[in-house]
Amino acid sequence: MSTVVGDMLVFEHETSSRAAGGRWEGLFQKVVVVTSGAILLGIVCCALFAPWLAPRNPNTIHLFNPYMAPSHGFPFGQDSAGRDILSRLIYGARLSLLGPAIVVGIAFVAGVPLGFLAAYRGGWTDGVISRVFDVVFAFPPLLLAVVIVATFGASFQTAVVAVAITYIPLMGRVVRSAALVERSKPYVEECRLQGYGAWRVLFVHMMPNIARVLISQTTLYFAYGLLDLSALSFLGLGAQPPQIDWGGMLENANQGVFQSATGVVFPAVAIVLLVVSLNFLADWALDYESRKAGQR
Amino acid sequence: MSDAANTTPRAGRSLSLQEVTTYLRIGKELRPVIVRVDLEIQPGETVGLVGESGSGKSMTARTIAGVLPRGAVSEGALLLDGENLLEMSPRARRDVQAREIGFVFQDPRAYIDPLWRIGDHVTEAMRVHLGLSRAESRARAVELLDAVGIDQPERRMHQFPDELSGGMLQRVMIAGALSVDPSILLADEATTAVDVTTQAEIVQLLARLSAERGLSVLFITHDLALADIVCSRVCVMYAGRIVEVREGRQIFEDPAHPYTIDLLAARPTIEHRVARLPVIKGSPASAMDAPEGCPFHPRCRFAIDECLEGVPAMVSVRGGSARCFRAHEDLAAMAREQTATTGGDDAAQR
Repeated sequence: MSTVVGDMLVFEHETSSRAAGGRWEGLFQKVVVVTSGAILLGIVCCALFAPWLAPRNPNTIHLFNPYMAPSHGFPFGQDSAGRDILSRLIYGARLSLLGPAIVVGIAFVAGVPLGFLAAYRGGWTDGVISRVFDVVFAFPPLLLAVVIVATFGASFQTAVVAVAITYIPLMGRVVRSAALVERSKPYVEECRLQGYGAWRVLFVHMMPNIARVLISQTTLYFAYGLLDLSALSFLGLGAQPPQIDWGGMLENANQGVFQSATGVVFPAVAIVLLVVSLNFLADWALDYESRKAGQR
Repeated sequence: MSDAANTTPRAGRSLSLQEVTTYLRIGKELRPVIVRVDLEIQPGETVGLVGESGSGKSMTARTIAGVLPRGAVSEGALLLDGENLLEMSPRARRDVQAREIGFVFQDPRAYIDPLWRIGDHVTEAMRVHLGLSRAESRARAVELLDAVGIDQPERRMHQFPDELSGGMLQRVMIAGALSVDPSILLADEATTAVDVTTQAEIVQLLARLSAERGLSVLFITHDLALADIVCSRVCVMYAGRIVEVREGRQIFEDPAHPYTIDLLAARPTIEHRVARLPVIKGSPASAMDAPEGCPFHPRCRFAIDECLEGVPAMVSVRGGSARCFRAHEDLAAMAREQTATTGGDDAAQR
């Protein structure tokens, strides 16, 4: 919780300093936002149009050319089995986007109602939900995910569900604390006075009011989810061949890093670019919202 | 104003509190915030509830509206046209309250969802409770906004709360409270946060609505003079109890309870100049920390031994009632005498 509050505070601070900044800062922000948007769009396009964009079949093996440096036919080089790294990166965008999206989706759909319920009902409902969250929190998230995957067998689906389970309490707890603050606000009391049901108060009134928290957390967890899924794939517990994701590519290239670094560098760069641009965009989206509110 | 806003003229309803006591849960124990409150509001009547902060005014309104903090308990009889709301199932009570009781708060800016347009705020209850369509509810909302004196109501419907002034938002809040055509309106310090001109307008608005719609209004304020202008009857609260109830201007001209007498004496008047306004010694007690006996006795200049022993009952006195053992004596005259002989300064130091 405290780290999350920390994030929000940092964010607030950035917003105000940026608003007060000069035109260079404004220009810089525009460049950053446009670049981030372009990167994200590019990655999404890669995922959608992989068969048309990829120069080669990503799973075609060239056993006699492992760990080759970039060449005319293979601009990003070849991996341990001589497969085209560029094509694999393009195809890898699919699972690397889909995985975290499902993780965040599950965490949102389960965590938000649980957090709301805990905050709104309070009492023993809150006690039960919060204690269950605590139990999940007691395990290091990645370790818990590893245990789940080890129990149910390594696959992309298991990895996604396993990571999602560790994210539900994260989401739930943030939503609970935001909703607790919101619930004590007078307009919620006015809703109670008007006799509106819990559903209406929570999802029609309170949810838009904590949208900032939800948006920032969702983006943050998307980025974390990508990292966790990549870590699982890196450990061989995520997507299995012939499925391709960036974490798995790292694992594959790891052994030959001294023969050719491109197999490590490019997937790593792709992960970093996706995470960073997502964070910038979320930051900007929230910032935009407050700018709009300020103009009104 | 507009006819359609009055399309559902209805007989007003009477609200009656009989020995209502509300306890708040503090830690493991229940502690009273209002004690055996009797209150009667006839259809179309405006009753004032006056008292210091912590005297239980707001808690009385919250008890009526059923929005008490978690764990709070109310007992006694809270009768709306003879039906005891406190004996209903929570769901039934919620439905009755949502339809019959409107609530206007001191600070409309906090009580209106900041992300909702004015139109959505005013129409919400109509859509939820009356099942009106969007178009119907919007048409009615425009009429309501017009009826509460908001200019350009169509344009306001699309605006956000932060685009409106405090006085306008207070009108919006009243429009929202009236949207389901309740029979009771609880105005909790509804005019405290707005400037005097707006205050006068809001007060007139409430009076007009009360007259037009047969609305019963409980007008809560700490402003005695305002209560006197607005209300047909004024109840004075102290430490969670109603200590005096008087009709019309009587409370000003002929206060019976020592607390009311001192409260009135502590007001500045333009009739005569005083070096220092008299104050009531001590600090106000709430029902929770009220002393044994009459809760006002430590601060009362007329206290007798009897006052320490038991809580005085409500006694009829000169067309009203007061909760004082010496209510039948002319305490006001004695107070004037006392002040005249000892001087205003002395009263200030007591």
